[in-house]
Amino acid sequence: MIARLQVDPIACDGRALCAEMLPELITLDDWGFPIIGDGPLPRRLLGDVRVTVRACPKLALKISDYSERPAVLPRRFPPSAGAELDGFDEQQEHGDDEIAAQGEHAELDRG
Amino acid sequence: MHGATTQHPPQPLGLTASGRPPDQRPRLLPDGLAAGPVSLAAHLARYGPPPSFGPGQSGQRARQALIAEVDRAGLTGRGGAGFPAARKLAAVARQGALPGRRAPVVIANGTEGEPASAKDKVLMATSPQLVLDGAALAAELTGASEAIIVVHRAVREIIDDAAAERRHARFDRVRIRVRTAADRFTGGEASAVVHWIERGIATPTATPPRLAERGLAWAPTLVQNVETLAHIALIARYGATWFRSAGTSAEPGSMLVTVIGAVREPCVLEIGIGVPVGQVLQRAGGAAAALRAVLFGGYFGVWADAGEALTRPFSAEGLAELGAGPGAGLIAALPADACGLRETARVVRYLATESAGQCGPCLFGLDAIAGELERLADGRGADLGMLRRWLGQVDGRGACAHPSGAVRLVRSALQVFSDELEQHAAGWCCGTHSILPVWSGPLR
Repeated sequence: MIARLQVDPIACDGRALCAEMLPELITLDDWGFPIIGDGPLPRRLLGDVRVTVRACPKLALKISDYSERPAVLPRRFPPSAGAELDGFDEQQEHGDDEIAAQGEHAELDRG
Repeated sequence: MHGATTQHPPQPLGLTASGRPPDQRPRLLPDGLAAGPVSLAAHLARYGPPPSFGPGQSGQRARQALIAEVDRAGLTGRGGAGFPAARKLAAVARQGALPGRRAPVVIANGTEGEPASAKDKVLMATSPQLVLDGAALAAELTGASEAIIVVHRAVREIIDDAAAERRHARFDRVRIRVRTAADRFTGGEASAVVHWIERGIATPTATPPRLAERGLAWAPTLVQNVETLAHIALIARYGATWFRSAGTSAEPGSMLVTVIGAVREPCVLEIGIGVPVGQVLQRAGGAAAALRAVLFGGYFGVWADAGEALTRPFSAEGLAELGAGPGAGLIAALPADACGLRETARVVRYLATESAGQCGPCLFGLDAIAGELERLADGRGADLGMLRRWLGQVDGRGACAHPSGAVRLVRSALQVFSDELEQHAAGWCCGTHSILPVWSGPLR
């Protein structure tokens, strides 16, 4: 898998640890929120990237498959525990190679 | 509903791609449409009954055939994104059939939070039964047992009455619920509508999961604009060939447009897709003044020079060269004595205020961009370099398309009104009045 680093902009609070830990990949915009290069992650940086993902105090970073469309992390949670949790657990356990979104709507989707 | 918007007397839908007149069976806003909502009986007399689906294999085949018919019709979403309707229906039906999935839910999106747009409200106010037909059909097609109609509060009572009429007549197999939409611009985004119904919070949520997989209460969810659903209700009756008798071969059918600004009769119209923009303005009474520019699509839309815009077909294809598109069907005519930069500044300030406030670049970036645009419009020495830097930093950085849409609007303004940038830098503004509403008045 060719990896890509992504940030969930809703979860991100601009704490900016990531930009300090990974200046090769992450710069900050004028308001202190991370701008992550869109390209595939260089292999030599994968270790540092994993450490950075774990260090994010808002858990806003994610490594995903570069071949998939860019996406951000799940925010909606199942309304109740039980059988419906299967898919969610899977995402937690296999965060690294979990499928990215296939959202087809490039535009703002108002149905 | 926008105060100046009135129901316009019906007109032919305009030319088709082949030059033949379109099949004249009634569409969304047909001839002789009453000013008030149409009753169920009158609705059925006008359009005939919608198809019903039998039980078992044959019913299932009929459902699949209707999805295929919507596909052949080439119907695209009329909420702004223009995604093919049949693919969305099929995706939700497929997800609902997977083992362990909940029964799908259909949400008819009549939020229409954009203050400049009135087409969904006019449709719901005049043909509520057509929208409910479409929602009930979409529920049948996806295997949903419930359809939730989320409506702008201006038309809540009309939809309530229409739904009650169907309930008393035992017209639908699916349950129809009505909810009042959130009063926010970003509240109309598909995931925000789901969030609103589920938790009373009208903010967009991040993907994945896609709504078609796990949406409302974790059920596969179809969120479809109310106009799209009304088209489905007609395609189910008259078929794809009829639908394609209006519009162009690449973009078939009719669509509702809201025409505002410097036209004699601001209104909501049904047009065949691909009718020249100038002809659409004619049907709105014609330009009321010399035109400087036209805003296409909505507040996420694109400005185009009036000289270039009027001869273009109103379609994705026709407007592509201008970098614009039909979007949610807004056409706003900017007169020469209004200022495009000032209009843009007002709209972007509104969009910044309406940010859901979840993503930093949107929350802080749109505010900064709006501030710079206001300085620009007021001739207070805006920093254009900084403005362009911020546009680049904000574009594509939200969980939804809100910040990117605002950036698109500003970029087109800087291009179309480039000649006026210098005048504004020298403290001179050409505008004497405003045309774009940034709040929707007492009916909001």
